[in-house]
Amino acid sequence: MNESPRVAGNIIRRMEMRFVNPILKSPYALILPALAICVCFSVIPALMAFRNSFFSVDYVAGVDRFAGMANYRSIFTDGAFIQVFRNTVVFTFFSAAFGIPLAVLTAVFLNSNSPLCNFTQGVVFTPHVISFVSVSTLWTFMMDPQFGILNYALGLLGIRPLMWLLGENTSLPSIIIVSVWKTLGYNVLIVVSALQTIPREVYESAMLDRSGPVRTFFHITLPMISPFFVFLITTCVAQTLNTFDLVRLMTGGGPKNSSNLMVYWIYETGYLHFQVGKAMAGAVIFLFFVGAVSLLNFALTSRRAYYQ
Amino acid sequence: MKKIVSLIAFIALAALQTAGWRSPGPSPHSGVSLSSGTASAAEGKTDVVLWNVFADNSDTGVFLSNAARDFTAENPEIKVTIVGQGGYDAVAERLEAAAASGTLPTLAIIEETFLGRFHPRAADLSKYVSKDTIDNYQKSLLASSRINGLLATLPFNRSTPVLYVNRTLFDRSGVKGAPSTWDEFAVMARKLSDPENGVFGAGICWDTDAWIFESVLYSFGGEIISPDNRTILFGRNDIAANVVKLFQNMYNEGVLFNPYIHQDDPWAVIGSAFLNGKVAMFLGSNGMFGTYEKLMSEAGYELQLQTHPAGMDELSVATGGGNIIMFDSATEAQKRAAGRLIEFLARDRYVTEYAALTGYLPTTVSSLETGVIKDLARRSPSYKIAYDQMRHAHRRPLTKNWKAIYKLLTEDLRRCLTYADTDAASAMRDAAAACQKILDENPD
Repeated sequence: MNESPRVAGNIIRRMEMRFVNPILKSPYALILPALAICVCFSVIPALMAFRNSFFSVDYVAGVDRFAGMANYRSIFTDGAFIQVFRNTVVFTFFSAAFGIPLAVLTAVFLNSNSPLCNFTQGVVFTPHVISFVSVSTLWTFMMDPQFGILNYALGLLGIRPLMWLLGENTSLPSIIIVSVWKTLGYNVLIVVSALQTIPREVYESAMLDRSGPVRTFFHITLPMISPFFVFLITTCVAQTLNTFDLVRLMTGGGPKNSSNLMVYWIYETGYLHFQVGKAMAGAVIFLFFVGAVSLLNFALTSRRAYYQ
Repeated sequence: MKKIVSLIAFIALAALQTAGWRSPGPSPHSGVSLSSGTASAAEGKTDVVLWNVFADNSDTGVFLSNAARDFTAENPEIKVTIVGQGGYDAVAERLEAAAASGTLPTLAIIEETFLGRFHPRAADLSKYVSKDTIDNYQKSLLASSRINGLLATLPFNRSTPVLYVNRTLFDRSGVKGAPSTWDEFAVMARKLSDPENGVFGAGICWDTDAWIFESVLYSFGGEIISPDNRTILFGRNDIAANVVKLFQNMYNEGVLFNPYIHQDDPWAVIGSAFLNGKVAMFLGSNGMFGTYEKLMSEAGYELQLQTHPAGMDELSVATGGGNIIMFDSATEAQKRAAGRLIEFLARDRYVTEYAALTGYLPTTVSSLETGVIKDLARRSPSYKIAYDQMRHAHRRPLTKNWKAIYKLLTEDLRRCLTYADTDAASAMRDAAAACQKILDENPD
């Protein structure tokens, strides 16, 4: 009888037990693929950005010279950077401040048994699945100062027409409106899912205790869905901080940087003005800012979340 | 301990990546192995990749692909790939990315002023294109081809701003001839305006790169930038502000069609108004003539091109359009093959065919003497207008910062027409100061 296949099998099994199994049991081995992707596409580019922020870099001219803090000095003395940073904060704050309450109200309505639910669902979710290019084209037409439907509607109400995307005072509010409209569907989806996790018995008890709809909303509905708010606020803030498409497609950051946001500024400074080092200095500052906002967000919202 | 091991592994990985990090700048091995290169190399062919500024299905795209087919029939050892990019800015942005990643094409058509940006990567064309061919190009079109003694580009789809005139509307209003000065332009615009029928005497679009503004400025004797690219000049006198005021006043009078109070692309807005008989004249590139002539004729209007109006005795105008650049990152064999392609495209047959198809300028001296161009000029004097105007070409800004400068300038120009009560003088001063800051921060 030939014993060699059995011996070989035993050796492989022993090797498996000795080397492969401990690796597979290790949590680090299991997260390795995700970690590798994260390191390659996030960590290393971030390190490169950090390095380039101290250099004067021009890929076309072949320049790669240490510049010390010059790029950082340049952005802090650049009025445009300060303005764009402020715009980004304002844009993020108002997009979240209007977008999330609106999503909650719409979701509460959709969670009821109103006959208008299906229609409203369609209206609310459609923007979420439309591409940014289509959304921008649609709103650009609607916001045309001469022929746009928005100014026509304002005219019917006796209000003077607005310049919308063309005005220095109106361009940022205009893209906030579009951003809230575009993200409403996704936010509503999250809140509706949250509402459906609340047991019906809780509402029945509230009814027995003669709790009105407003009181029920503030004392039952909101606390019960609060864990979802942590997720919703975090994703909403992260999404709006990283807005690029709307600016690129609708205003190009203008007029006079009034609607320019950080991510577009980084692209514009690096790719259009060919100042890679300065753009990377802006990116590093923005990275720390986003990190700080996320930490603050977790600290504030997770403490107030009610977990069952 | 585990944390320390993880940290060390992470740092090692990052260091490895950093060590293998390609330093920016020209590399003898970069930009050669484009995706199509491997297959062609296996077939023993030399690859030439040309990035075309227009889409593949545009007139230029079809022309280039037909010309490439003829060229490869004559030169079977060369494979030519034409890649449509969809606009001057799109080409520039992709070249920027390609320069960083070492994947520059062999040739690209770039807007003539982008030479200021890409010349550090350009090959010397005088080494790969014969002297006879180079000498045959119109001298005025070569004005923006040389930089620091290097012949870095050669003309391809070249243009100049000319006055588009709806002759039918002129005749209906009893206006004879066409304006040769800006004063006449304003007077005729008043006569041509017909508010009851929504007709404006004139229209203006500064263009996305302020090209039309630049040309009007030159026609008044103004300048954008000093020849050494160190000083912004348009804020140093009143010429730029007066150009803006001319159009602001016409708009306030109700005789100028203003695309900047609309949200859409200004060229699309003004073009549509002109084709619909709502604008009697505007400045546009002669390269649009082929398309506009067809569309105006279908709409029942007679189109004429007229010489750019002058603001002083001697006319001075901008040139525009695209030049071909060859990149130094290509192999010697690719550069020689690309040089042969450029020579092929400079033959009279292709220069005349392209000019007749699109309205762009015939780029060579000998092509002007061909029967095709003479017939074209006889049949439609409009073609001749642009050819003759080339004598008055003004050198364009050739700084790497031009894109950043024109973006700022265009925003202020746009604002002056969106809000026509904006003080033009302070707007131009502010724009000039901001543009000067760009030059100071990032000198050539």
